[in-house]
Amino acid sequence: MFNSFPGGEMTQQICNKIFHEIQNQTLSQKDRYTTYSIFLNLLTYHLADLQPLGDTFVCGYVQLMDGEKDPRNLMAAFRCSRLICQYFSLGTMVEDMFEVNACYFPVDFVPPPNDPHGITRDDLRLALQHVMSATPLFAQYCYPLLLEKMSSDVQSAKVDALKTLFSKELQGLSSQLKAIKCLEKCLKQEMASLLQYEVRSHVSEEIVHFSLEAITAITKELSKDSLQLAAYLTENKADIDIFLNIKEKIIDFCHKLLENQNTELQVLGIRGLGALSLWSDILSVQEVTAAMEKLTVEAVQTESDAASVSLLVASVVDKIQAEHASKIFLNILQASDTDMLLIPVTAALSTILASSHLTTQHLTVDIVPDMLSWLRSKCKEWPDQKQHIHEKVLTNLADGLRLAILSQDKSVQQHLSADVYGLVTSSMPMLTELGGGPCGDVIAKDESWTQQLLLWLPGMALYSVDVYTRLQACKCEAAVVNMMLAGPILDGLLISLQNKISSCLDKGSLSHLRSASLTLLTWLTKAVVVRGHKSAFDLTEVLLSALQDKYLALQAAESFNIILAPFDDVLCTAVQANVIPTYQQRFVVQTLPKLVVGFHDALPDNKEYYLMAVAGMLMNIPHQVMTTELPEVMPLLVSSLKGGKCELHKQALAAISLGIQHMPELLTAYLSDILNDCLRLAVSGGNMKLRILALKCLQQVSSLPNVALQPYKSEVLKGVKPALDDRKRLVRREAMAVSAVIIWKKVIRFLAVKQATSENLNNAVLNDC
Amino acid sequence: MAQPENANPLVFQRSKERQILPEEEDDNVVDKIDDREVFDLIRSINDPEHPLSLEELNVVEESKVKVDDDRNEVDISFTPTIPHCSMATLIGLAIRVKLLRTLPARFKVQVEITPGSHVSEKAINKQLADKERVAAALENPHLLNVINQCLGGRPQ
Repeated sequence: MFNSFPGGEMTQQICNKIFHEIQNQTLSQKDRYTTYSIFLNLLTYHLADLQPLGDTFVCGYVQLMDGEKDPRNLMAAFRCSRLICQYFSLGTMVEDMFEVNACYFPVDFVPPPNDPHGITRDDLRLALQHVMSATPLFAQYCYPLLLEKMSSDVQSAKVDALKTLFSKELQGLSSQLKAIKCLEKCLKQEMASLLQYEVRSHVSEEIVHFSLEAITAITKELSKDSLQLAAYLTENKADIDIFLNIKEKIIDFCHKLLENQNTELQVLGIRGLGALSLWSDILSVQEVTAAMEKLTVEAVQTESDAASVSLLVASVVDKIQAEHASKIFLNILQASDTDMLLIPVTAALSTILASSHLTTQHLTVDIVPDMLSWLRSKCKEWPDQKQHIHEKVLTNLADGLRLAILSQDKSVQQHLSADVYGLVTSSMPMLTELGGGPCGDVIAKDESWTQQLLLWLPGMALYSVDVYTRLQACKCEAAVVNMMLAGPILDGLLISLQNKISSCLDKGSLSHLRSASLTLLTWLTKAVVVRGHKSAFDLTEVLLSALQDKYLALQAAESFNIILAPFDDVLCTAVQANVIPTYQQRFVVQTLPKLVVGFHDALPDNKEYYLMAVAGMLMNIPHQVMTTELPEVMPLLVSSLKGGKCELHKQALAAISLGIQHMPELLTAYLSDILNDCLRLAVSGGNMKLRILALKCLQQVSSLPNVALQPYKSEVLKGVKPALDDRKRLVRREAMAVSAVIIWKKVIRFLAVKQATSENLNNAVLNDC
Repeated sequence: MAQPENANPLVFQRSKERQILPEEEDDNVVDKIDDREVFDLIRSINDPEHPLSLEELNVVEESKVKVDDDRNEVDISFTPTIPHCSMATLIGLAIRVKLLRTLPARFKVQVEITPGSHVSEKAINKQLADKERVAAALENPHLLNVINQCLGGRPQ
């Protein structure tokens, strides 16, 4: 119909006629609805024709809508109002326009039973909210109204007011800076006291919730124009007091929430503070810092877990800028006298650094230099024997730094790494954690650093009283060796290190020195294996010989796992270490046969360590390497299930499971042995973990679609029976699973055979006919 | 398959996995077989008509599984979703078979219909208690196939 509507002059004529001739309020509901429909159509399709009417139109519409009661009509009317507010300059009609709509707030409407129209109270509330937030001009009337309703005794009115306050669309607070007085009322008199009352007395979770959301929304709105706000405050000195008052109320309130036992309220408090910290131009640095500190302290006290604190903080960081947050945490770090906050704060810093929200500029100019200088001054105060807290702090910072640096461009990486290494080399005994980090080539290029590091590290790795420091020194040394240029210097260094290690490994040495030198040997071997250096061969030989030593064998066996396992902080491609792609394969091909020979030659007591080494290696190699190596190792694994010790059995079972996963076809030859041994261990294994492993292995075998399994099914069922009544529930669970799956498969097979025979019978009968 | 008798059954939430207590990891402590352990065995059995487990249909409940480890007794009541459910016998049979396959042989298992929840409660209880009839039913390949489907399929 409107397609052929001429528009222009006609539009205005229609409006004027309606305004003059129609007294909307006297019409029936249906006819009033028609009126609104006409305006809605005109506003939607012929807005430009209407706009010249200006005040006349607004005034006419206000009179027309006044007193509307029907919810269906109101839905249409609110839509018209919203469009008018958005597209007309309301001029002198602002207050009238607001009043004619806002008089419905809070919406009081209960749909009749069997309501055919489906309009709910919430629909009306939302439609009205859209009107109230349609123009910033309403702010001056809107806030007082909402505040008034908030002190209402009617619960739903309160919630509605808060919901509307919280609504993201509600705008104009910042552009109407005079509304700050409303905010003052809102927070100082009504809201804050109201909220405190509500929180204390737990009257309504809903109200508290929306109150906070409202505070957050208002805070955000204000912070959008915080500069403007600050300027306004300097001009109007009288308002400053009010504003400070509000600010204190909010901070105070958020702090109260943090002390609350209810986690949800705590989270709200944290979010409130997070929003507050956006007011960086208004809040003093001390205030924001204090708020953040409070947040951290509370989180520490309630959660006592650094990981969850950093999670909490990270969720706040989404909302506040990372740059700002990192500064705050650094401030806390620099100012704190106690050690209690160190772990969560460094964890938080690490989270922020890892989030890659930071700009390069900020990272290079502020954060990294500040962190390093803090570390420089702090580490001097720490005792030689690091406590857990210091280890944790250093690990946190090292992780954060590494990830932050890696997210940057090559040149920035070099620059930052140089800073880090500068600190590491100058404060050596304390800060080895940082040394394994990225861009080892920075070290390799600077000979004086290399020299310095190599002078310090072996001594620390071998003689430090602290296990953690020793390990970090080993890692750092490995990183340096890995990055050094190939040539006589490196070769010479490796030879001298090997000699030193060999002499320390000697049986005559103190036991902890022997163990420390084995750790260093492990990491050195990893460093050269990873880069494919020829000295890998000799170092591995030393490791292999350590397997024969009663005292060192266990540690030596574990080192084969360490050499092949990927680490994400050192000696990996992520930190740009010198890594050749096939190093795992090379190492396995070279070492595995030696381990097999060693196993056969070893004393019975020592065999398990060889097997552990083999298992450790199998855990870390790619599938294709596994398939070539496994056939060689399988007999060894299977035979070790026979006699020997519990630990050996566990290792063998773990490796066999791995084998079944990768190469089920290899199983057939050993099936009888494996099943028998597993059944024996499942029933009479001395250790419940061993019994469980054996049963898991049986499960794996029995769920394979393997024809070869068929003859053993009954045997397994019979053999597993005692395990069904094992004294441990966890063992029974695995046994029951084995039993269930085997019978299930047996029945399927039985049915298939049965069907086949009956088909055969049928065929025979048919043939006879 | 024909239209299920109860086309739109109420679905209940599955219970959480049993929490492992420290004493369960101590090899020296004896864990008795208890109600929950047996309930865990039967709760994942599939319903013959719906792609849901007996637990999700509230046919079996932990409170209706009674286990006395010392006296080797297991007592289970199950509740068909509707009082004239023709699948009730089949469900009872599936529970019996599952326990036959997984429980130690020393247990005497009794499976019955929750009193008042089925029109032919007595007759079904009698069938389920009759060892020979159960054995005979399991000779029937069609029935065996259906029961196997109830017991398999879903990962346990």
